Amino acid sequence: MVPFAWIILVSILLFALGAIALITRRNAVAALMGVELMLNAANLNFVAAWRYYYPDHLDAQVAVLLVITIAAAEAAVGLAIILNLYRRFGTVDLDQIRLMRG
Amino acid sequence: MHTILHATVFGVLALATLGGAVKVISTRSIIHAAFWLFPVFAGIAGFYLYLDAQFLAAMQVLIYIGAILVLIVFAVTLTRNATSTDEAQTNGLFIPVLLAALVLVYALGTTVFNHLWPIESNVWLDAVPLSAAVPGVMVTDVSALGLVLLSQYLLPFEIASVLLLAAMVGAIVLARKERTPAATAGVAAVEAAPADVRELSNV
Repeated sequence: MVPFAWIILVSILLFALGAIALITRRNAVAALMGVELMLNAANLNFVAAWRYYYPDHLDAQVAVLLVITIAAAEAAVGLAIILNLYRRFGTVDLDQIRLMRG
Repeated sequence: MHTILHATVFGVLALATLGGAVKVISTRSIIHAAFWLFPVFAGIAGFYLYLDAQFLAAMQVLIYIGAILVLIVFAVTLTRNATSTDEAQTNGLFIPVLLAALVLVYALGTTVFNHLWPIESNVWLDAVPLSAAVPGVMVTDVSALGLVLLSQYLLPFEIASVLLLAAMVGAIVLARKERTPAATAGVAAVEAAPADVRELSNV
């Protein structure tokens, strides 16, 4: 198997790219894509650590399943909020949306 | 030979994942960025398969590619033309954030490489043996995961299912088209109220 650090390096780079997308993208949907990238990076970390160092424990797989569940919930609610924002403000540009109430 | 095969598989998966992620943050068209998420999610599913987590790979394909990706594409098409491709897609923070991300990568990378892992982290390994999680059940079996999920991790499992239900109801309530501005205060309450109260709440 490839060295553990290689997989962790992929995970770190994916996390950094997700953070860049989250902070710099002006479109709210694209910022949400950044969150998904970061969650995937964290999941990859869990699975790699399980496979290389704790192959007799299932904790990591359970954690990944829960993270996937929460990511699905987050995507559903987040995109519903974005649709609501679009209906009220006519834009999903995060730089132009400054109000918490309609 | 063995090593070359593993390196090739890893290279292809890493290229799909990271290349897709770079395109996600650099593509001007938001719908193209959404489609570039596909190689990222598929690459991560490939990593799960490579790491012997078959059930997680299946879940990754089902939930991330099958549900979240489709949801994002829907959201993009429903908010189409909200930001056109000829205006800047990033705010003015791109360069500082890029530098901060490089610092983050450097810090995390050196930490990983310098940490004293139980097995040294940057050496090639023969396959780490997979041992039995529950006596008689292989750790990669779905049944082992099911047993753990419904015994040791029953509470997180139940909380996650309640959370999914709450998220579903919340998403429906949030995304529903509102008939009056007062609907935020509860449509049922407004409709039950007399006409003059309804007018007041519309102000």
